Amino acid sequence: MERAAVVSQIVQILSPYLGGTMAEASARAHCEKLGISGATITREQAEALIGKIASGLAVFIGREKAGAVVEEIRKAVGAEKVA
Amino acid sequence: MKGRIAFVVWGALAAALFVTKALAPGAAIFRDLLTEGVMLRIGGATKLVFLLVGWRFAARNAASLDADNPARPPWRLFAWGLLAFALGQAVLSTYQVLLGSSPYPSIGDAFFLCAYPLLIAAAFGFVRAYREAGYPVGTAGEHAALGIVMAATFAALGYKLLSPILAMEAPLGERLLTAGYPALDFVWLIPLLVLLRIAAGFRGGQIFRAWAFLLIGTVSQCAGDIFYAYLAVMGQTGLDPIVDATYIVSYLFVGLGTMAHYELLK
Repeated sequence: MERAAVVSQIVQILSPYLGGTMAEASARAHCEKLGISGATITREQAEALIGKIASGLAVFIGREKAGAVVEEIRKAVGAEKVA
Repeated sequence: MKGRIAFVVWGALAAALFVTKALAPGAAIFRDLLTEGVMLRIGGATKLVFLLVGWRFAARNAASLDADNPARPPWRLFAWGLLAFALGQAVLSTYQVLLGSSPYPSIGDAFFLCAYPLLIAAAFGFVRAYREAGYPVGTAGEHAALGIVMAATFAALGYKLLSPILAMEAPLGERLLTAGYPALDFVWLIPLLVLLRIAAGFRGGQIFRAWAFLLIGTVSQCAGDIFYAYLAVMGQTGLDPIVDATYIVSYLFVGLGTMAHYELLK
């Protein structure tokens, strides 16, 4: 998958909650922490990124709602849930 | 939605009444209809209801979060703090409804004073929880530096404002209380302003909206206490209705903020 496209989808879904600037900054920061820097992103990397986003988001909006947002992100980026 | 509109309209009307009274205290309506006792009752009942709404939604927010969510303990503390404020206001409102006067100090002040450690601890808890959520909202060192600068500023301001209060000719308990509230507000303002710095990063999102309401409410409550202390130092009483209006607006925003958080969690 193309990294820029995945990040863009994530930012689009998170923006209503986090605001555009924070959504973009947090996606970029999580990518850096996870060592996701190339032009492409694997399903495993996408799943790790989504997991990081979910745990942070849950602090603000609760686990249940964060779970729903994460599912929306998964559908949008086409990443399969890693069992 | 209808309930929230009614809540806002009620708060706006009540605040407008007190502002009008400050601007035109001699107006016929305040002499004949909305007398001192009536205004006390309107203000007391409004503040009590708004605080109870804030407490109820803050408690719901705590209950909506999982046991291991780091934001749950601060929401609980915040709810207890608002409940203590509501109990203090209930005591005061009872005096106001029955006697048409506000004794100072009263048993209500014991509840108001108990609320502060809870609210201060809650604010520090929110800072910690949100910093550790993994968003780029500043490091612990940056927040500590900001806190130290604010503590130094407030210490200087507090000394200037509170020394004359402690030297006033009034019973010791009254002087300590009048100085104590703004002193506690200055302490509370430190984590609140760090929270404001954190919330600013979420501009444009629902999280920012919810925190903006809550922070406008809490910061204006501190401003109301500090303004009251300033008026006491200056010997001004004509502006007391402005203080009442400030409290009404602040409790209104606290209520709206706790409601907005509840919507976020639903």
